[in-house]
Amino acid sequence: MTPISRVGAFAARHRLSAVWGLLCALTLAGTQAARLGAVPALAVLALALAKAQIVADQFMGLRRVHALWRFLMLLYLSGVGALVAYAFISR
Amino acid sequence: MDSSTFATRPLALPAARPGRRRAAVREPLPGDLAIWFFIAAELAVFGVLFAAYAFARRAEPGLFAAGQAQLPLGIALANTLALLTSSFAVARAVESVRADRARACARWLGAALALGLGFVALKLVEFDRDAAHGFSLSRNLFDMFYLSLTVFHFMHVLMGMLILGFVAIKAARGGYSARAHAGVESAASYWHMVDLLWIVLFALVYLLH
Repeated sequence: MTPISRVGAFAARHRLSAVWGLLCALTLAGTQAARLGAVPALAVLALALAKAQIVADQFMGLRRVHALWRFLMLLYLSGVGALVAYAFISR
Repeated sequence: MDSSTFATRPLALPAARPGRRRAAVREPLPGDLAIWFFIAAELAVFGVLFAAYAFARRAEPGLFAAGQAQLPLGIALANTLALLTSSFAVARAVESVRADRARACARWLGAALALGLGFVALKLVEFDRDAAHGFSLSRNLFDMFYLSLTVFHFMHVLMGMLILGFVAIKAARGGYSARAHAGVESAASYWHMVDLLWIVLFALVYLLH
């Protein structure tokens, strides 16, 4: 519940807008690439997991808290990603 | 691991001194600690469902490919953009209240709610379309997983909107300030979790062939 200054709020607005633009661009590019079959399935999966980590870090605010929480989220996403990837490549 | 790892109380930032590097200051987890236990439980449940979907797909790739080909990618993409944008709006709401701008916070939460409503409307269109195509829980394995995952997530969206609605009303009435806004941060954390899960779900169910 930490208050921030006006300067801090201004910087945060720009950072959040940039992150939102990046996430939308990655979504559109990833969807188009997957639709055309231009990239392997694992690349689509990796992109989705990277976007999820960005949401956790930038929108949820995990980049500001103890590194343990960020690591746990990374561990979760990596674990889910590894299981899904294994199911895809072992068929 | 020190006690600040689990701290949820306000943490004062030290004033920056010219010519000196400020030490990295870690803030406590946003919102109430309880919401993070809830989020962890939800992530675990969805993690198991995602893995189960992937392994079921491995057993019947043809069936899953045929089912995925019937899904409306355009609607799912629009829903992804809607949730990403609503998550952005919620993040802006949190930044607004941290800067002691409670009215702006309420407006951003209202925008997030409107986008959530858009998600719900599009999802209902998709479910109606699915029903017309004969999707049902008992038809086959793909339908069962697809409907279970998307309906379960849909319920989380509805719950998130309910929470955001309560918080938005309280924010509009001046119920939060820069010093006391744990409710906004808790609601925001939940909503970002809903967004995060949809990002993985969208890739897994709609994109991965």
